Amino acid sequence: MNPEEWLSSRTYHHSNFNNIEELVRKKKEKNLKISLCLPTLNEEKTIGKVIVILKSELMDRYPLLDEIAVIDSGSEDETMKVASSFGVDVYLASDHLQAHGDHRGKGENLWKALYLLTGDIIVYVDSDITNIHPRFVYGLVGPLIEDPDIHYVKGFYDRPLAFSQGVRPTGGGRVTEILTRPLFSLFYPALTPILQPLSGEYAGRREILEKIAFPVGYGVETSMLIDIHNEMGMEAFAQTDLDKRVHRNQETTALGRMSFGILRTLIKRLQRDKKIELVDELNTIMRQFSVVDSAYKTIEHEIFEYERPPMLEIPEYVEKFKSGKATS
Amino acid sequence: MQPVSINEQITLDAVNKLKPLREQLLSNLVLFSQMEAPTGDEGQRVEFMLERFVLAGMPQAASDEIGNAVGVLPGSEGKRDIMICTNLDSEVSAKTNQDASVLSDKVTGAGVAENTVSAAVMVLLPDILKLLGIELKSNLTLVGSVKSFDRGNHEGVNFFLDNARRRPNFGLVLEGVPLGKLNHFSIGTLRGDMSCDVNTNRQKLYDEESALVVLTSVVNRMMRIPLPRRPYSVVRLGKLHAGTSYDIEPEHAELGFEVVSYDDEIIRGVQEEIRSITAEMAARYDVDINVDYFFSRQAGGLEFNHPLVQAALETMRVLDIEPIQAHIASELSNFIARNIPALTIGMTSGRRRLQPSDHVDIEPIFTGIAQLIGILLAIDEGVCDES
Repeated sequence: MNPEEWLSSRTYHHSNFNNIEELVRKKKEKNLKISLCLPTLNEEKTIGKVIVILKSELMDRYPLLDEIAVIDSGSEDETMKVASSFGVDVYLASDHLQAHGDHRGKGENLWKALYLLTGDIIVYVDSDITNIHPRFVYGLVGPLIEDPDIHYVKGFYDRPLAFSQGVRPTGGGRVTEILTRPLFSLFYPALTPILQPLSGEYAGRREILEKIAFPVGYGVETSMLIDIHNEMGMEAFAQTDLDKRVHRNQETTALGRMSFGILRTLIKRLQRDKKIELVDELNTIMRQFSVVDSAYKTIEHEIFEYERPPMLEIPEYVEKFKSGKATS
Repeated sequence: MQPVSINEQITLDAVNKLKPLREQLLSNLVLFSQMEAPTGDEGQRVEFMLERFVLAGMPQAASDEIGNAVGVLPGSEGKRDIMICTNLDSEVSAKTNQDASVLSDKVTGAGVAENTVSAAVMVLLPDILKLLGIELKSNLTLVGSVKSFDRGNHEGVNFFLDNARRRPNFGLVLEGVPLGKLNHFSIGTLRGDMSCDVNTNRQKLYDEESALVVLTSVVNRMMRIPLPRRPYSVVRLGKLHAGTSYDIEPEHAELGFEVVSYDDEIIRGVQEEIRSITAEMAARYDVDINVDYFFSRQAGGLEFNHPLVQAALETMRVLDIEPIQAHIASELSNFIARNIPALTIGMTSGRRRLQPSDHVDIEPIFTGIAQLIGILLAIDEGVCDES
């Protein structure tokens, strides 16, 4: 499947799957269990809304989701209290798989979700979306329920259903357009039709997610794409337009640190895939600058981008999911 | 005054029995409150309400000619027709951020303390009745009305009442906050927009003032109109707009005001005074002053000892709700004008300033719903029928 073919045959719109009753029927017919993971860090303002809307529409009204879990990185605000008050499972990431150490970051939460949640399909949705809507979930699980050849679905945003002119740029975020897309074009061109590779909303089948490593920080979205592509090729992917997503905007300096983490993850894979050879170790310090009383001050951030091994290498996981014991 | 009895057990039990619906209720509240719905453009909320009516299994759900969302749940006997309504339009400014946040004990956001709570409750009502095992004998009509505020002048609810195939025997108007609100009497209200325009070809050489100064003089005179303390009567100045810059005297100014009183004669008297003041000022300053009275409600309503009012008070007593009586102009007046016994009740506690800091409390919503159930059952059992 060449990139053009993939783009036309594997790009969906969430409205393709808005008959939720039908999705639930097919899910039951295929005996699938679906889990939603909401990774959080200080999201008290939005997590309650995300939970009540997704739980009421996709668990209480239509049983599309079998479980919803919040996995928290150690919020200092009321995130965990708010989440606990709405009847979903709430986990503090550092309380689980303690024998394997503790690394704080979104990727850590996503990785531990594979151990803590029991679904055949795991849906990941960021918790800072202010215009949360059930489409953010059914748009992602729809292709996985309907097509057994699809193993991983990525969300992208903001393509209106009707557009009057012929050409319209798809417009990823700043880091996507300046960093990820140029690098994918250089080294992993097959992945370039994925319109928003860094979007925080995606869903995958357990069989593939348990086989790949998870960077604990900023690089997790990039590594997932590269590693799943290496395992299964583009045929495993699909993408769904989830329309508009409203979330808080990050400052440019925060995007700089994000880019640093993504670069470390990506360069590691370039080395592994023998696309480049480094003569020295990569630095782990990101330097940024600020002005204090007319003097320039260096601010150093250590961004190591530690990687968790594939879950299949974790004995506790194998014990829980592969030893024939009950998984619910 | 005849004592009324309500079904205490079902009403009290409802508070806890309805908790499983909490997430659905909050989800409806958030979704309603985040949809922009200025008066006359409530389509998104209407569509959402109808979609919910259909999902709740209401056998009849459609919008009427003017755009109200209407759902009908036939009763087992159909002897009485009860209409529950809440308006769907919003007064939140288009410039205000309408994002809502759900915290553990409250929901915050600019639109949450409007009647979005009552809309959220209304679309769940079929599920609420099912959960409580209640099958009403009366027909229940749920109306999400459009075009209520300002110049909308309750057009939606008026249209429905004028054109409904079956005239309701009772009406319940649901509002968001506060819990305990109990309106059974509509105060007489007259609202007007006054505009003042300076004649650009003034002939007079004296008393030449800007539109702003002239309108201020009119305001000063309006404030001197004598009004009795009893019956309660007041002239309320709500809006004043004039000018664009510090160094340009405005040629146009606008004033929005209302006159309210329990006596319609007093309102007519004030209206005559205002006509006289504006005529005098227009002549003195050589300006055009026009008053557009776009909203008028006659005073009237249910007596305190009406069985519907007594049933509501008894329900509030059982649920430990402190009644708050206020006689503001609302949809209630449209029922009253048609001699349909009706009440306005609030759903929960909270704060309503049409700002992002507004909130509604979550737990009291269940008491608010139980209150609605108690009153509905009383009507259904015939407790509120006039002998």
